[in-house]
Amino acid sequence: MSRFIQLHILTSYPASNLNRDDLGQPKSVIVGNTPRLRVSSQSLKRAWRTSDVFRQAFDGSIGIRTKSMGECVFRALTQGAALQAILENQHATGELPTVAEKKAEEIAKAVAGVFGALHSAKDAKKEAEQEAQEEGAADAEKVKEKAKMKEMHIEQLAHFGPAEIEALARLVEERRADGNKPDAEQLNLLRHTPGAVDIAMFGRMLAASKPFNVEAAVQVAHAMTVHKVVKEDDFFTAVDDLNRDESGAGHMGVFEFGAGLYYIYVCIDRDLLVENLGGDEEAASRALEALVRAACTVSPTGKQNSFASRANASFCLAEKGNEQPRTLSSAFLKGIDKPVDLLDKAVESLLETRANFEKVYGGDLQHVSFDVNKGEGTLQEVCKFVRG
Amino acid sequence: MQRYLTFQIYGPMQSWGAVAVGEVRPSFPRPSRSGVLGLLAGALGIRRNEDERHAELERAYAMAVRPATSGARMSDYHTIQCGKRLARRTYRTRADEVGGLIPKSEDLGTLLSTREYLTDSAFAVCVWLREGTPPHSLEDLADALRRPVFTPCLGRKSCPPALPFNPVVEAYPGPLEALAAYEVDPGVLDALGATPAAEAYTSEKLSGWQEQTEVRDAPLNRTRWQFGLRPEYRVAMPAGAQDEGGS
Repeated sequence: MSRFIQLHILTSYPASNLNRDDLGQPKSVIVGNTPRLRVSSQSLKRAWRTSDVFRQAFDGSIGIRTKSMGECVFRALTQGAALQAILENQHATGELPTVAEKKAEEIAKAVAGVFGALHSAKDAKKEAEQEAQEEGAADAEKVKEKAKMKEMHIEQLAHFGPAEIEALARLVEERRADGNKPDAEQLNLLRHTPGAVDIAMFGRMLAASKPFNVEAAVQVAHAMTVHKVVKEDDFFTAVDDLNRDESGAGHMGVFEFGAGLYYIYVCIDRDLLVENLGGDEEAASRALEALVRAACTVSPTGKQNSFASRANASFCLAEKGNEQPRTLSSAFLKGIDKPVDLLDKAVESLLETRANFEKVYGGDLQHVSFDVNKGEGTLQEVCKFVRG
Repeated sequence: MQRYLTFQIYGPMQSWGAVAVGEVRPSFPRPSRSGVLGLLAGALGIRRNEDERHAELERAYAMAVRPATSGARMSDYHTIQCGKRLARRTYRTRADEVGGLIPKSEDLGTLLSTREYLTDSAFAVCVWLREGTPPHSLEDLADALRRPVFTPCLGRKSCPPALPFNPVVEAYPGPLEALAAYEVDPGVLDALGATPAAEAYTSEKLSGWQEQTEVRDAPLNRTRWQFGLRPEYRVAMPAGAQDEGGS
């Protein structure tokens, strides 16, 4: 099996400001003595990671999205039923031993706190009162009961993957036996599940908790234009609709933008990706496909409302093999200065550099590509090649 | 004559982390010792936490770098969204940090940093054996560069190499002769309008050294990210070597 998968993508963005520096200008770089526009690696990764493409690819394996897992843990412990039974019907009861309410509450809060910030007592009370009022049953006892449950809820919806639910169910049964609050290590185990695909791909570096660090399996280079681009200024004025007496603008400003054909390079270490996903080959294949789709169709979100500069890739070349991966950026080192047929020229230059590398340095990577201008190949084919 | 491993390092952007305190994360002007040893370690499949194997590399190999062109510097403005660091809060995923574990009443903070990169730089690197038994022969290192275990990068993950390393192992009278004989990809040098430097920088006290400085890039512990000081010597390339570069 090939270790490295490399993607070479050309995407043309119209007037845009996809990724800004501290002055609000599009990021830039001088390469080959040529000023170019640049989109940082970090910006690309965030756009892909948070895209619908990614979400759709992984929603299949998704378990439950809820705020009330803590309440379910509490109910499982006090109602003598397994967690799975409570998740199906929260009023389920069973023959299993029960834990005292006070202790069950402590356990539930500790567990829920791992997945999100808990409701404050004040918020819980307020929400409980509101709900009771809507239901038309402002009975004080009932409100108190509701508020108690709400205190075990987290503020925002959290996603619980199948593996996480399994780990939770195991922890519930362990705590049922002794009624103790789980310790830090047991709580950590709840999140040590191989479900987090984005972390498997892009890694994680938390200086504060080293054990959770993950080495990224995907390398993304800063994207840059294949030609010279000088940032342009847009001097703009805004009219005050209600100002009928004085001529002149209600507001004036300047912002900068640029347009260009960007070269995006991604290298995936497939073996490391599988390892980061706990050996799950199928998940790795799905992750790879999602990544290719995202890289070819998702744009960074910067200034999209002002420019609507969303763009799909015009060209994508995928390569597979074990030899040393390398970007083909030197194809554009001189900066392509052809305003006409820019894309064709860029593709030609990319393929020529690739062929020259092979001739001079050796190597024989498998490859497929699609080219929108020529109407050759499909994204589907590239995905299949990358998965397989 | 001793054997030397020479290879080329080029990428449109590189970043060889120098001493960084706080917001600015500068780069060395050329591949650092820790950077090159890390590149070799990754190619060999040594993980970050394998301290003893990293220490072996540090002991076993000497190194010299000749800039083929030193290029320019670029600063990248970098922001990271992040929640407060609190003892009672453990962030286990990135999603935790930017939302999941942050109560509604709390605002997210932003960490600012300025990351420095070298652009348009290319280098020839020479590696040879110090005394003692090396953990890997020079041929093994060359093979690892040709077919690396982990994805190679030029200092930062976002800086992929843009040329094959093209490693060569051969016998020469000395490391400078090995560097002088190594030809960095002429296509790239031509496009950059570059002429190889008339000098090299090395960790060893080679005869004829002209200047000694101290740099903090001797890897001590990669898990704890600790680096020690080491001397660095600037030496002139042997006569004749300058001519081919045209300087």
